[in-house]
Amino acid sequence: MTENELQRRMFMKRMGAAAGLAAGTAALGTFFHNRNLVPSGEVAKAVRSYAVPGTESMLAVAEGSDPALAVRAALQELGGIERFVKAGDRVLIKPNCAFDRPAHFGATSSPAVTGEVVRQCVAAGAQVRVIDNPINNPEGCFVKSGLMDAVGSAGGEVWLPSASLFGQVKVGTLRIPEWEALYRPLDWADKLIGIPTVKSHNLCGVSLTMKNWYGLLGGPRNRLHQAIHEVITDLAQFIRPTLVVLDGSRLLVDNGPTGGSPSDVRPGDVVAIGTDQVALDSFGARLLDYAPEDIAYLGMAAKLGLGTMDEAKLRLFKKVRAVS
Amino acid sequence: MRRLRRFYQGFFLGLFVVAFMLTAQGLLKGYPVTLFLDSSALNAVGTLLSARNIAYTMGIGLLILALTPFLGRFFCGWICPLGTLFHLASTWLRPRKVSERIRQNLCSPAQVCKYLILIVLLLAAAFGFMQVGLFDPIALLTRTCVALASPGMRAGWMMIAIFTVLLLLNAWHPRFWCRYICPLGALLGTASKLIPGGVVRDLKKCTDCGLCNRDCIGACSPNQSTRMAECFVCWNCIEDCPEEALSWQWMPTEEQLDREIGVSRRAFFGTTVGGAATMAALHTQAMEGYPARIRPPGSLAEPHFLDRCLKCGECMKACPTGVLRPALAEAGISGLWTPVMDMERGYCEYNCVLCAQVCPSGAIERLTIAAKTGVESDEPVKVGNAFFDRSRCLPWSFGRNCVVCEEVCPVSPKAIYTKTVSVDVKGKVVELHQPYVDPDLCIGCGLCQHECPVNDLAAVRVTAAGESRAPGGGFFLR
Repeated sequence: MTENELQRRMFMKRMGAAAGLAAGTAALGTFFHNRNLVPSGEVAKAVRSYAVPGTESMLAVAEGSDPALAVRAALQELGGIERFVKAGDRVLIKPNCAFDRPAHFGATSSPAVTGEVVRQCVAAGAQVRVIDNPINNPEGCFVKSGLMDAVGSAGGEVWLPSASLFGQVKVGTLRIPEWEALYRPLDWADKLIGIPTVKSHNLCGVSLTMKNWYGLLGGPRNRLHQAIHEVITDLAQFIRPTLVVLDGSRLLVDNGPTGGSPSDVRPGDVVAIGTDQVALDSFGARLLDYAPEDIAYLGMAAKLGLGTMDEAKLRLFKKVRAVS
Repeated sequence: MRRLRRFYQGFFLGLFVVAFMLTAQGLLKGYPVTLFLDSSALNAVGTLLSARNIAYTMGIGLLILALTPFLGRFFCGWICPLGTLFHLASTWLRPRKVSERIRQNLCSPAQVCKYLILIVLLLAAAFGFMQVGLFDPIALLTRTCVALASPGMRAGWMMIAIFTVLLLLNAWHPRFWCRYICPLGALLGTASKLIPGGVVRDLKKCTDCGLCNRDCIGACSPNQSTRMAECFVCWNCIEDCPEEALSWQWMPTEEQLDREIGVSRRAFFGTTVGGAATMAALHTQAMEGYPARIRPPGSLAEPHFLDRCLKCGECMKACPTGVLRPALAEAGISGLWTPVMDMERGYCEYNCVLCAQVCPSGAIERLTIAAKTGVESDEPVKVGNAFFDRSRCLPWSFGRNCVVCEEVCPVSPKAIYTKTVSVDVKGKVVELHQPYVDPDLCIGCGLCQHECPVNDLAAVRVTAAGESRAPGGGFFLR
């Protein structure tokens, strides 16, 4: 091997290395070329409809001082829980548990009604979980409202919200195209049952079925108040529940939605169960001495065809007295 | 004896951890979670000097102090959870060579430091500048645990850093903190000067091999005459002596024990005068003006609060919303690490008095929910007052509706009310609900501030002005 050959080999080697390096750099450059500098957020996921086909536009009202009995009576008018919940279903229940308040203050859904709904679903062979994303500390809300005990003894399970349960979901309306919500529980569930309680509300008059879905949201939801009626209508479009149980066993007539004094509460002795959110909320508004027409979001929702304010227009409307 | 001691140390450390874990919403069911803070004689004596009376639970500390002249520093050797942790660290970090270990455990004149620290702390406490909690070993450990349990807590890094340094110092000298710094150890050491028994060396049997110092915890020189103020009554020296020259004897002669604590007259007076002057200077700094800090509900009026607060952080651990955090400068120098509310982080839960339930010293009075919310008396505890910053508030300045503040206000009737005005916004008439605060109803819970959508500096903010514990009850003429 001559001196010359050695140099040539070295030269080739070095050229090879340099070319490899250049190619690598170019490949990396191509790979990262024209990417967004800011990582794109997670892709918003769709939330399914939980409604059972053929059960649209129904409302059953049961009056009586025993809330559990009223729940059973109203369900019976609709054809029983079995019509909505099948054995093996995973049922997510969303009561109103927004505040750290004892049950008798009327700021949260009553343990009696919530417990009975859980019991009915469990009896139908379903697995039941109960969730809410409250304003106050979640554990405090569920314990002090009595819902923790009521759900537990009825055979359900309270699912306390934590960061990992949230995800970006498609709401799909003009004002909120997407928002952070309790995606994992919503994705887990086959059926969704809302249990709002009947409350007055400082800003939008009444807080009932549609406003109750607010507790499925996370993120900066304190911004939503700036167009509260529009947003509540958006929520009614976004969430299509299996069933809604409007808990009128007692009514928060004053100082809503928090209450805070027993004098803000009036006995209601009524439970309304149905699938038409507008009809349910119109019924609830009347309980609180409001004309449904005076609640702006009810008008908006009716206009969008989400339901009717007129009970006579419902496909099925029943009113019974629940007595043992 | 060694095995028995380790059992006790492990037991009490476990008990401390369990009590700490139980200090949380849903787990606190009347358990004495502050048992260890109560059993610190330093906390009891310090509070007694500054506040002139103590919570009855702190009597445990006085009981331990009363037993110490008979039993020695059993608290340090057998009970103290911080001591146990440092003991473990010392064992892991100790040198391999026995001669090296013996050298580390020789009695040092620097052990007098802790007595000087004690003198300064108690003197300051007696004159109303209560800093005992900064140096109390149980408060220190509790505080560090709180910082570890709530990552990102303000000043938490300081507490963890201090603890880490103290932990690593055990590599230099075993139980460095206990021997040189701990004022509780100094207090108990002073009490055990009078002990009627002690470790006595039989001069005829002793070969001066030095093995008694190999595992001596307190560095109390059993190789000469045992200094009982430093002895942790661990009995290691008695067990380690190959000649059986050491034994525990009741009523030994005066020469057989060392009853000194090593504080010379000069050091005592020097520390007293110098310490008093420094503390007085710091204290005058603290007393100026009306510091802007919101205290937990049930807190005593500020001077009395500062007389008692041990800065242990139990209230911060118990708080379900995380609104409580350690003060830095806002409560004055004497208020360093005392609890203050930060409404950006949390808010004061309306139906909750957990902080008051766990306060060991009574700086936060035991309060019932009924007393706090004023359902019977109509005089709820007011920790401050909400103030609207109209320049940042949406209905006031931006022609948009909002009033989340009113929605979440927990009192009934609501302390935030609105007046409706019709305003021309860009050529369109809009009905706006503009919020106001009723100071007679506002309790300063801060939920409005916490929920305000204007992030970084809320449009409604709570300050301590108007707090009910202040003399005169606030800023209004009644």
